[in-house]
Amino acid sequence: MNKRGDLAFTLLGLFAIVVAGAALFTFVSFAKNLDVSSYNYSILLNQVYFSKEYVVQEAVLAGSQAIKEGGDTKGAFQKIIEERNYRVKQFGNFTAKVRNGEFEFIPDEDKTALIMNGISVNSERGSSKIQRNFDLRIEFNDKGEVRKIYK
Amino acid sequence: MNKNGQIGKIVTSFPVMILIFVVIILYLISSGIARTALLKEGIGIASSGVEIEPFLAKVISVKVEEVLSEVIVFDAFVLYKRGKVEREDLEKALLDKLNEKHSLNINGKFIPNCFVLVSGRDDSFIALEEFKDFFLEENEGGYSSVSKTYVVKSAIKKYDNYRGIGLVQETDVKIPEKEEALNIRYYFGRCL
Repeated sequence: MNKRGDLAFTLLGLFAIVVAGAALFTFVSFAKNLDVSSYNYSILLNQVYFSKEYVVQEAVLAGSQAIKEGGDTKGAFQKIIEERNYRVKQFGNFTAKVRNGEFEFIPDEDKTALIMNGISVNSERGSSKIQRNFDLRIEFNDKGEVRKIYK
Repeated sequence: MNKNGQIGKIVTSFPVMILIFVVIILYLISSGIARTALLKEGIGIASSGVEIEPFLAKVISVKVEEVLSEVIVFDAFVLYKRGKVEREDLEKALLDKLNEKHSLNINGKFIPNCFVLVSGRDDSFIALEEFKDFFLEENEGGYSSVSKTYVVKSAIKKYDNYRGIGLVQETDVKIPEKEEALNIRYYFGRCL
């Protein structure tokens, strides 16, 4: 092998060592960050999941009470939600939609369906944010008991 | 390099390539076996908390200003903070909810021996009596005879362990108009 071949061979070896070192450094630093970001991500997911379930339960309780009261079900639903409103940011646009009347109570034989589309809930932690959009349909019987929930 | 040299180089590179492929295949097989074994032992369940129905969104029956009402657990904490729900009533309502089946419902399947841990930023932990050894350390806290729960007044190492592996659910919400901040952290699941 001539001198040029020696040089290329040596550079190749050095290059391999540098790449291996960089890869090791990446593994070590990445694993450390993953613990923290994984926990934060888990909290974000839990919060957005909780917000969605909260909104659904809120609609179930208020819808059930409004149907039991009889009369203007839509108006009663709006009044109940407004009374219980804690203006929590992460519960998204649910209360605003109720206030603006963007929902329907549709009677159908022995059941009444509460339909609300385009609900969004969100969760924030530091600079990370998750938003979840969903449509809600809750079917009540005449006594205001829940028969089915589509979410 | 002449023709013979080039052919020689190509021929010698084959065993090296074959060796590299063999090493990669061995790595994939061994990591696959290791992963399967770890999953069988139940390691790596930190994300299971996401699948569990959030306890804070459950409905409980609690006295609100002396009137028994159906309230979402989260709302009950807000009302407690505003002085509309008594602490003992809240503890009792939470315990009644837990004792409905005294087990954890995961996708319709009831799993026994669960426990719950609920906390506010300034408030105490609430734990079931049978887990008192788990919570009571260094003579912290006291016993509530009404709800039969142990109340512990500071953070506990084992709680931090659950938090460390991402099993504690946490909600930290601000209620702007009332200038309130409500922080509730809890673990609701099987004892590990």
